[in-house]
Amino acid sequence: MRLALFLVAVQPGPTLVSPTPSPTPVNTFAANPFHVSFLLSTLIWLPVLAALIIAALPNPRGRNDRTIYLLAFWTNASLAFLALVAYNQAQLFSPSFQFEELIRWVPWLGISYHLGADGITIAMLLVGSLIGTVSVLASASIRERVREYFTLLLLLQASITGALCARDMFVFVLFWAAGLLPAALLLAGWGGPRRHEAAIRFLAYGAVGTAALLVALLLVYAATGGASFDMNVLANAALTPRVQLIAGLALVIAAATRLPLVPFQGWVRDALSEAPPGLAVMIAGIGMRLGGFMLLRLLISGLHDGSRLLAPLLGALAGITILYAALAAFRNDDVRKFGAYLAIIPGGLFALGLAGLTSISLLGAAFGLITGGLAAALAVGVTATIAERAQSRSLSVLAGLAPRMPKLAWLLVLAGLAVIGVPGMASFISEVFTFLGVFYTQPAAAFLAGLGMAAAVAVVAFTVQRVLFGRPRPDSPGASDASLAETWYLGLLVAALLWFGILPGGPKIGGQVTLFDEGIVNVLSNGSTDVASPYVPPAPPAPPTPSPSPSPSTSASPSASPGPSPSPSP
Amino acid sequence: MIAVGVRSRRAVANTTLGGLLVTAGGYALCAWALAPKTTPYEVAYDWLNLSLAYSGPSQFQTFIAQVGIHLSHPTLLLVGGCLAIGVAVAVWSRAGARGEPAPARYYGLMTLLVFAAIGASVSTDLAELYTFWGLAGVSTYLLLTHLFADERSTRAARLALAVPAVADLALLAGIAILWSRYGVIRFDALVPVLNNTPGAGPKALTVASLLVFAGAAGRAGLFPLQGWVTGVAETPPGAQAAAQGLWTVIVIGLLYKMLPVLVSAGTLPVRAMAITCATSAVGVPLLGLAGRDARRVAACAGIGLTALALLALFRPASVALALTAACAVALVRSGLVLATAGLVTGMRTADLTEMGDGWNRMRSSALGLLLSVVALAGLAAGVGGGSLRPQWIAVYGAAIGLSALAAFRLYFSAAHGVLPRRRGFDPNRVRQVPGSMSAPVLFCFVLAAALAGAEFSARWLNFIDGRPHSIEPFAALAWLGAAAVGVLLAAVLYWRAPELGTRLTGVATTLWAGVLGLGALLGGRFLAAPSIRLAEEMEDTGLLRGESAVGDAIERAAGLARMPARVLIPLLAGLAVVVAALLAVFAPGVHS
Repeated sequence: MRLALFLVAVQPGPTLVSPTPSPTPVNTFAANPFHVSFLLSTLIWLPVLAALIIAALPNPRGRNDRTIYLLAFWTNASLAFLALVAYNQAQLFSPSFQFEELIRWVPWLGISYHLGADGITIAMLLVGSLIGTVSVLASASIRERVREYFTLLLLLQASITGALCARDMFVFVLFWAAGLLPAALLLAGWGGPRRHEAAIRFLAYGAVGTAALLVALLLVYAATGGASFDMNVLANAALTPRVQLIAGLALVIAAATRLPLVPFQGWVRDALSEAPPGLAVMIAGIGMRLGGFMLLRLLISGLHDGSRLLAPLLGALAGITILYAALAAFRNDDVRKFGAYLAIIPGGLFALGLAGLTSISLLGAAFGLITGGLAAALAVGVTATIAERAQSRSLSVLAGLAPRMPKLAWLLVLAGLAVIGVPGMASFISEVFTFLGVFYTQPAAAFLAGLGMAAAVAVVAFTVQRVLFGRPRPDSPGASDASLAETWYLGLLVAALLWFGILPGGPKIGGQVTLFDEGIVNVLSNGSTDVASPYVPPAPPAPPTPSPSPSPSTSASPSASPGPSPSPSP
Repeated sequence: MIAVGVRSRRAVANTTLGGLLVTAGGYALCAWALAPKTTPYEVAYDWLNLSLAYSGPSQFQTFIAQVGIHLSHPTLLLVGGCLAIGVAVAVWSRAGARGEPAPARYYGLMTLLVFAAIGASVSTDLAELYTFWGLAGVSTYLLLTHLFADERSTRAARLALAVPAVADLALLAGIAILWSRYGVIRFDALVPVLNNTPGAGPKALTVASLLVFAGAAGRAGLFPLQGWVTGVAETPPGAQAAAQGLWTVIVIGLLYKMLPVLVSAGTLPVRAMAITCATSAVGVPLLGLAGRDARRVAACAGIGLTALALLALFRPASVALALTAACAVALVRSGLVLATAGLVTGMRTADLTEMGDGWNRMRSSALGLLLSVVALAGLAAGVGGGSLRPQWIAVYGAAIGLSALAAFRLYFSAAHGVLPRRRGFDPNRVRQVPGSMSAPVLFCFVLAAALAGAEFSARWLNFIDGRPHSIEPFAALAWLGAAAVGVLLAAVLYWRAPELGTRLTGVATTLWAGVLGLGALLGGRFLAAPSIRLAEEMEDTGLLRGESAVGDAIERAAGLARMPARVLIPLLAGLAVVVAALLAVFAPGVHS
């Protein structure tokens, strides 16, 4: 906050606007117990503050490792609590962004420190803070340079949160790019044997994505007259279809490097398989989702004509990505890479939902950001833990692990089921919504994606059987089950998937009275409905009033068998 | 059970059986209350009630998915079938599954499967049905694969996840097309709008119908997706019996609820569905003759019978008959699997050439098997109708005869003839399985026989669908003749002249193995291998080459900075001109 005030103070003619207060509480049982101002800034800068404290903390011979770990953990737990406050207080029927904060930063360029959250952002913040907490728990095994590790992890967390909350495109790109360096340093410093190569590739792809994002940003800025970088200005600007198409293409490239989508998926395999578990969970759970969030926020919300023109391309990329990830997972011999390939699939499903450009497919895509992140984080987390506990990554060596590590066996099965989207898991609902919406507008892409999902199911079935079941190999090293911290962090992810999967509309008494949770899909639809409104087709004209005639009785219940059926009368 | 820590085998078995019996008691009360009524009972709670849009067609502005219960006479029949199968398998498992390493997991998953089957049967909309459908699929896979340490069992069980995935996705695609055209997912709201929704024509209806049927066919094990049923012979028998029986009920429930949609699509799609059923009714029992695994033969015979029952669904005014027959088929399939499992356990082999003399050594198991195959043959005859065209008469006759042949091949091979001595196996030490393994088979037979008899009761059929029915007992007698031909053929080939039967089986096995091998070769060479090779190339070399190319380009671009100024400056100036021109072209106001 002081930094923001300082930055304001050095600019000519600053305009300090107080943030809008948190919304008026609604009458929901156990809702809205707290009011918090500057909520979004707190979510962004609290981990930065904690990172600075950790960086400044002396740690002779690792004596304060535990303190540092606990500081990082409680910072993330506090963020999760604050995100829960925001989620709890979200106004579901508010047409505008909530928890807004606006400080003019560079007025002559039109840059503002503008933050805001709609339903989609609020849900992402909630899941992001959960992922952050989980990533700290997953980092319990870090023993070397603990101070540096958690400093970088918290900075990464802050950058992702900032990108989620940003309502100014310049600020968004700043936060987007700011996350690359901590992630690359974490990967290079604490990763596996091929960590340097993985970090370089991660940084290279990230740089390409950032460059593409900058091109889109500057093009739109110039096309709107260079007045402002605010996303509201973009949403209301009348850009030509050509400009929208070029900007949209650049945004797709930027998102494709992050989600990822074929052919920009090269960094994922190495990054997720070489990263320490905590970093892998953070990247898969929320870092990769940032690409999709950017597409939703900038392309779909702002460039409507461009979205329509690029929808077939997105659909094709989505289908190819899912199929490619399944095939690549099938021929792979490394359990961690198997998890990395599984983590690609939710990104493809998200892109498919965007390509549909219908209300329900966009809601499915938005929900897919949440569920895909949780499922991907679970997949990479459990495979990383199995590789550590079984002391081998090779699928040729791993076999018959289930009796020796029953908890991890169940978790791997659940991870596979979460990625393919079975009932009970939150990913099932997002997948159903996506397919319900996409078949209307992009049937070819939907069929291709369906084929990819079928291949993914086969891959999961075969790999799970290969790793977990059967007789263990005599030459395999000893295996042990998950530790308490590992069980907790993986269990939290499973619990979130099950909670959102079984109660997506929130717990209700008697189907009517809402308890403390409004339901994540209801919170998401607050944002997705507005996003989808430009794409809703007009209602068909009312049919002419027919002349009075006796109305036929219709069988309203399937209990009555149908009338004479045009069967081939065998 | 898992949550409260019930662990011991007896405790979980009792808890499961108790739960099922309590549910059966509740079901009996509901049936008693609903039986005299003609209107169904329905209750539903909103699970999802979402606002999707503020404008546009009204049916797409909201999405409501409910957790509902729709009880009518047909659904009572389906639920009763589910409960009966659940109870039978639970009782059988008390002795038959006592060697299972994790009883809590086994019984928990079985309970989940029964729950999902009941949920699918009483569902009120497509979303709820698909949710329970998926839950049943997952619990089927977990149940079949639950013998973690047994490599053969788990290797076989992975087919139960991979193969039906195509069918499940086809069902989802069909539901998606219906939603995208009509905007409704409730069954009772879908029927009135099928033919009067603007923008939704016969093409969409046809595609949706075929996809929905594909989903049902896959889970029913119809050709060519029978592998997930016939290929899981190594998995626990209780799990197989539950899966085969319950999925038959779930599938007929889906098709019954979607029948108005299927027939509204027109004659051609319905004909295609009928042909698919007919192909499986003839082909899959024929496949059962290729091979010597008793469990696989039982599965093939059961699939053939299921296909016949589904075929009856597409005949005019035969819905009640098809529902009754399908429930009976489900019971028979479960009973057949359990009976076969008892004999396999007792004789310690599943190879029909190594089985025999079961009638003398394992009388009650053999009797159970005999009753099951008799019920199978009888049911096959019962679903054939009258007033058929000649080609359909031929199809029915072949299907009934082949089903009876496959089933009775199993019986004659296992129950009669000589039980050969094998290495490590003494025929004199074969003992009858416990009564709790035989009683469920008899239970299934009794219920199936009752339902088979009810097929000839106009009153029963009228009770199911509220329409008048005419019974054609002579047609059934004619079809019994076809079944008798199959029985006689089985007796000749596998009892009186077993060498001939063995030779024919060998030829059929070789032929089928050849077809499978050719299919695997072609599929591998032209589909799987190229796709996987492409992914390999992309991952291992393509990506690296692309990244190297980009890196080289950047390096060359950096090399430009080392160029002398007299070359660099004009180059930069030219580049600036090009960029300025592009910006000018794309600036607002030039193209509007």
